[in-house]
Amino acid sequence: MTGILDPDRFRFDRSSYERPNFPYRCGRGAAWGKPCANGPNIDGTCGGATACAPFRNPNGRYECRRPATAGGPCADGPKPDGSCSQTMPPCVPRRTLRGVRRRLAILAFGLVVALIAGFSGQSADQFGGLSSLNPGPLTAGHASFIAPGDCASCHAPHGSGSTDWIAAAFTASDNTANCTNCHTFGGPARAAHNAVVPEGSNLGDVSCQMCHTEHKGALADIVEINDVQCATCHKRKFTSFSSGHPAFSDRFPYFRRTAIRFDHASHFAKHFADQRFAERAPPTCVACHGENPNQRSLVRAGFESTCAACHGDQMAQRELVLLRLPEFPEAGIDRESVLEACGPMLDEIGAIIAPMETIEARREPGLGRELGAGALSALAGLLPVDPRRAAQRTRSPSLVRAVARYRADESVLMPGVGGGVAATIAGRTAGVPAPVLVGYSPILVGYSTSAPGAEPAPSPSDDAIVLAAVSDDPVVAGLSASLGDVVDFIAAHEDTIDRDMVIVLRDETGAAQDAFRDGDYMVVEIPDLGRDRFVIIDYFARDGQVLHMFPNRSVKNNFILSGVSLTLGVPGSGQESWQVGPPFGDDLLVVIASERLLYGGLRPTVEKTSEYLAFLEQQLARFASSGAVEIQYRVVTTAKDDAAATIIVERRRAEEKRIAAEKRAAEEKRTAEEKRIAEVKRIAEEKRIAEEKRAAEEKRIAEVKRTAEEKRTAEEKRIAEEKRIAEEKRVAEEERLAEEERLAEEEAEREEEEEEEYESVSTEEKSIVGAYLLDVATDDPDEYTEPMQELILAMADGGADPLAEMLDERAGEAVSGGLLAGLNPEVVKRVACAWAANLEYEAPADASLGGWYGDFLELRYRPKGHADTVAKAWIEFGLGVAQAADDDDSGERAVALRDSLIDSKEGVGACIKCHAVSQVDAETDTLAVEWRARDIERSRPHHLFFHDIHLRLLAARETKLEEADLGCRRCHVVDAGADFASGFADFDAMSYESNFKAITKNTCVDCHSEGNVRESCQLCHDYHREPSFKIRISRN
Amino acid sequence: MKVATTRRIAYLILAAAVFVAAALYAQQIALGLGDPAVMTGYYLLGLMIFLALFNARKKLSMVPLGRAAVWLRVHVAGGLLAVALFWLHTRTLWPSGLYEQLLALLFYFVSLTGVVGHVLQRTYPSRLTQSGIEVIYERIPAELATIREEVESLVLKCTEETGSDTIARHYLETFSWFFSRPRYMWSHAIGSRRAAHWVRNEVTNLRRYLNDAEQTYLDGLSELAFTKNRIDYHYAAQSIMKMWLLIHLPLAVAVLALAIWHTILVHVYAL
Repeated sequence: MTGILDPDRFRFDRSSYERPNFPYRCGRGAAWGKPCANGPNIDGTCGGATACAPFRNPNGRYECRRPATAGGPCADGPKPDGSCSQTMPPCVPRRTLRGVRRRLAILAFGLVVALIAGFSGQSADQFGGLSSLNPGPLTAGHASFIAPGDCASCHAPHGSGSTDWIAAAFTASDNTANCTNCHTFGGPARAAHNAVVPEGSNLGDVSCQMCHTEHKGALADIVEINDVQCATCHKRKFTSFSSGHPAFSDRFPYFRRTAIRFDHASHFAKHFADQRFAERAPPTCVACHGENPNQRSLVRAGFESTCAACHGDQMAQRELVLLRLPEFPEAGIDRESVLEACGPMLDEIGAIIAPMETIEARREPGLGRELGAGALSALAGLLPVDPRRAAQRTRSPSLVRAVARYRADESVLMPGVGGGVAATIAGRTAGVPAPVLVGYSPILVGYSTSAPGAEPAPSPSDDAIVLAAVSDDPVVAGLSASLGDVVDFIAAHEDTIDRDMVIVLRDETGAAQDAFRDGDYMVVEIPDLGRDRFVIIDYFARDGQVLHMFPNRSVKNNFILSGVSLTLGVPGSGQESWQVGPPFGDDLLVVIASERLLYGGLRPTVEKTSEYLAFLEQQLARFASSGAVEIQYRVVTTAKDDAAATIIVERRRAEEKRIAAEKRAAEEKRTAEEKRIAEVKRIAEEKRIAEEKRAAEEKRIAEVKRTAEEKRTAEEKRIAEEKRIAEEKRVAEEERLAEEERLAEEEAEREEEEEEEYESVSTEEKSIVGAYLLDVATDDPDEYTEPMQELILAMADGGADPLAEMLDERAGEAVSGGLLAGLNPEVVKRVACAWAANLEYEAPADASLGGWYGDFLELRYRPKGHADTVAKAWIEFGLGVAQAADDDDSGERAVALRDSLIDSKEGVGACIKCHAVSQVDAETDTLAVEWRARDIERSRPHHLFFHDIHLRLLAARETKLEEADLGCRRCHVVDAGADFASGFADFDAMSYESNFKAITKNTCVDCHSEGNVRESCQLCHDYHREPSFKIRISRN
Repeated sequence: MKVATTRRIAYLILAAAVFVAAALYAQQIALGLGDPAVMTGYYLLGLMIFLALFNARKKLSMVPLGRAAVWLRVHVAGGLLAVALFWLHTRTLWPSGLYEQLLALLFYFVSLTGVVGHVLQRTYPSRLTQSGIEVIYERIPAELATIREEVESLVLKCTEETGSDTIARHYLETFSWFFSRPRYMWSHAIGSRRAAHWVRNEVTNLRRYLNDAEQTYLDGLSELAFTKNRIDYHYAAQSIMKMWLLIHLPLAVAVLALAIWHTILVHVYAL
């Protein structure tokens, strides 16, 4: 029986010692045979081929050493050679379990090392991400910007070489630096909350990896942090928003005044509630604040779609006065300089010189000769009825002098009385009666051959055509000013004017009259025209209306046969009659005789001149080629009473008397001259006969003496010739000196006269802008006169350039481009020339569309509308120069300039009526206009609020504006008692009282509390300050 | 037994306490906006190295490093702690990177084989004791060879003395297969008694053809067969208790190697 159950079978002498920790075991045992007692050798070879290794004793004999466990020494004993006699075939030892385990462990380790070594050298994304360097996919955002395998974007050691790579294991990595290669913040990247940490706070730096760890998969949220983490750093600990969060500030969220001064309280209560503005009032809050609502601050819909409905036209009403012509105590501007800068006839001449070709084409050939009435009218037509009559009146005396001075030998042509006769004045010394300046546009004509557009001559001379409307006579001035359209009409049809047509005006007594008093009846008489004509008689009054005298309701047939005189308006005749009434002054009576009927029927008895003239032009154009048309006109003078009439009549009679006296004097002179000529002729005849006799005698004597005298005569002739030449030289020199003396005297006399006559056209003070630019006081003529006059001259010469230079110099940088944008240099020149000539500048057109324009004594800018760039530029300029100003007079003027520009009521463009001006840097006292609604996101960067979801929950889009406590107004409660306006009285944006009541924490807790809407820190607070990216991607 | 259980529980409680402390410390680090993974990673690596030292301890049995049983209990508790620390470290059951996934997979395998091994070590020894014999695993081939010699001697003797070769022929046809090597390994592994039934069935069937003299020899053969069956059971159980280490240990080595490389990478790229 087996000894398996024998407890002593493991005794040392009964069993062999097992060594499971050896790497090999007996191969026989492994094959389930009987293992040998020796077991395998340590090297894995069989140790059981013999039963023992015989031992040689000291006697030289071999002894069996088979162990007792194998049966003890064998009976055969060792062989003689010492080998064992008990041999067995060797086995193949097998590994023990421990040996196998060791090999597997080594294999596993080797496999791991091989895998790491095999794949670590590859890109992290090769072999399907098998590399040990691939810690997992990036979030989708980062994966979009970092190329596969571009580990070095964030991990500097990657790919840096084995030495650096190994060194990186022992040095701290700075991955935050790599983060900030792309990410930017509104503060230090390594500071907590990106905020500037107060000195001594000892908060230490933070790193991005504190909160954001990557390689968690494309959809991993690497942004989220929990409330407890917030509380770790914050001293004030609380469990949740609803429980423990501090109460909101008593000004929340209206800590600072708004950039736009919009008083919600008054608009809600007053303006929007007013039925007059009901259609323009927004129906809901989101009508103005509805754009892009997924933000903390709602974006206003913009001026054009909100405020403009009521306030759209206010910007243009606040103009900027760039320069104002101030009152000058004396004429300081050198006239020659003005002429040099502005041309020969100053401002008004410059305006009408331009159409030279037209003048050349329309005037009679050979100016200097007497012009016909048609040519005169044509020239008159070239002179539009100038609204600047006042300027012309002021200017005309010097014009007359200028023409007289420079064109003294030329003829001065003027239309005669009634416009029917042209008078010629030959150098004012021809003895021709002086013309009566009654009628349309008396004209002084000079002559030159210079081409149009040439540089103005240094002084008026033969190099310039000089045309000037001279209106010394106030009657003429008034006539032209009020009847300009009619005059233009007549001038335009000057070729049809029939000077032979006579218009007789009589009063009710039948006496011919030129002037009528209030209540007088006016009888119009047209003598026989000598041909059959349709006749139209119109009375153009100075008040812009026309009275159709003929045809009229009583005499509708206006066809007048040849040989028939026409008499109209006889009182009591049964026809229409006309009684003189206001307005009084000079009117025009126009007669149009046409071969064809110009129009049928009757016009309204009285209608607007402009409408009628337009109609008449149309009809004349229609019949231009179908029949002759003749036009004649006459000035009619009316007056209030006898006195006025008397003045006019006396003036006319005096004029007639003067003309008659001149005629009479001329006649007497002519008769005396004729007598003198006859006497001279008789004496001359007697002298001629005697002379003939003497000549014959002398001829004979001379013939005798001729030969003898030839030499003497020749000598005398030579001497006489020399004397004559010397005498001529002397006389010429004397004449030249005399002429120079005379001119000098005239010049001195003229200047003296001008000095004596000077009266500044302006009584205004300087503009604030001008005073600042020139650094002078606005109200001290002694201070501003000289620099202002120099500026005017510079402007007359260089347009806007002097202004631009001054502005750039004042600002210290090139700002004039924006400040003077759109300013036409020609306008500046014209304005300056007018001012230099002590004249008001009158703009040729109304600046209704906005922009720069000259207006009498001012150079102004009218803003074009909202966001006018020029107005903004000026306000920015004002703020800039005031900030840089010193504490002196100049600085005070800069401040005054700024204050005028940002005046909420009068400032340019009315910008500051709505846009707040706030101090943005207390240290430098820097002010800035808040042109755009303030970005609340930036002002409190760690606060979050999403209006969009709140608007939807509160149904704000459907809630009417007037529904208080609903929609937006549930949180934003209007505070009607707040003094909103006072918050804009200074530059301190924080001294402000909102017209909304502060929002309390309870307003939010109504929903955001435990068990209701979530209330985590990050719901309302953003850790980072203005997180953004350095590189922005834009789609072109 | 009760003391051992109490000690085991004590070690588990200690491991749990260490984990709680580590978790709290990690939480504090996280609240301070630090990265607790660094701390937990080093804890885990240290623990894994310590666990690996258990194998060294077995090889250094001559050095007085404490009782192996204590080491085993610490190893078991430390293994469970390592699993918990692993989750604390990764904050996930399954990390995202392929390398980390491989590391996690092997770690889980190591942990699983450790748990299975521990269960086997806790299950089979008591069953082996119930078998009634003690056999050194390495001597099982020799024991089986001895039994086989005894059986064959018995069969020869039976044939010589009774003149009947019934048992001998049956041995050659049937029992020699059974005695040639351990049989019914899987049945023994799961505790089945299928091998004993087989022996009993064969003996019963054979007995019908034997005379009284042969019956005596058959009883001896039957006794040797049942003894061999118990040795087979020992062989199966002890093989399992030794074989699981063939998985656990190489995997542990691989995990440790991966973890060390992972630590190096973290230092190079992240710290």
